[in-house]
Amino acid sequence: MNLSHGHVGHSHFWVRPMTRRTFLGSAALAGGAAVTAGWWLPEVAKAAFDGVATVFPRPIPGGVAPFGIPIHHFPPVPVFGPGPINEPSEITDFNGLVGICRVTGAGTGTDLATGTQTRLSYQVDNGFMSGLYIGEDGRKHHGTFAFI
Amino acid sequence: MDLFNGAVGSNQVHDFNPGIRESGLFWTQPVAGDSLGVELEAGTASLALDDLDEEDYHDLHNALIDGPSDPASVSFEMRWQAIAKPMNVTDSVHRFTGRFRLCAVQIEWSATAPGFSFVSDPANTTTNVRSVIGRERNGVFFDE
Repeated sequence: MNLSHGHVGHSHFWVRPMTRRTFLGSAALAGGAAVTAGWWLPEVAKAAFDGVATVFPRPIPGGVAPFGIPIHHFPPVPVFGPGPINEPSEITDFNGLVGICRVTGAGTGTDLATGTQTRLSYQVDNGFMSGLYIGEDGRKHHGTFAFI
Repeated sequence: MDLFNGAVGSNQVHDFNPGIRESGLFWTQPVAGDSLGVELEAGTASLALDDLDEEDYHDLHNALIDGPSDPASVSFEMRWQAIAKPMNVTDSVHRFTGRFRLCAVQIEWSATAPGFSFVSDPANTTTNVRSVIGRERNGVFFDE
């Protein structure tokens, strides 16, 4: 898959002034930090670092191409195989906890100028990844990430 | 997080996400570790985030081409609850491995964008399509 990353234009949230988010510091690991952990152990279900990661991870290499536009993401459905689930993680070089979902529902939207309310339907594909990863800097880090 | 003025999939009016990073990292942003709680043995996970900076691209195609967007924010509380036993999965094609559980998810969320706000119905009205939690290794950790 040939994925183009030529996105240009407005600034994304990560380069805008941090008005609501406080970055608490890097979670870079020392070179000899433990990499492996037992499967399904309660202690690995805790985030190793409660702050906000300052080094971004790298994307998974594969993905799908909605509208013919390749993206580094597999939606929860349809299942592409060969396994019974698509890869839940958005990030590669990763060892940790993951979650993903597709849910639908409804709610109420409000036009703040007129007060007019409208019933709207929603689809939410959200997820999380929390654990050890190799960052864009090539170093090991711990962090928690939301897929929105 | 997508809103439709009609059935899901038709007449999309809002598309909240953090954008696609130059690396290709897709709609993924760092959050505080204490926003997440996971109990794999119990088959539960929760993620709660308040006033998270996003962009409103209004529809999926515009989001994927990184078209014009408005600053927005979302808040949500969501919970995964396992509905099946754990399964070991190794996908050598996509090079990921792990132990996973299919789940049901409930969410309650809200969003704000210029001149607009949204509040979802209560969490117990959520319709689950497909949800998973688990522990995964991929990339350089796949072969460990």
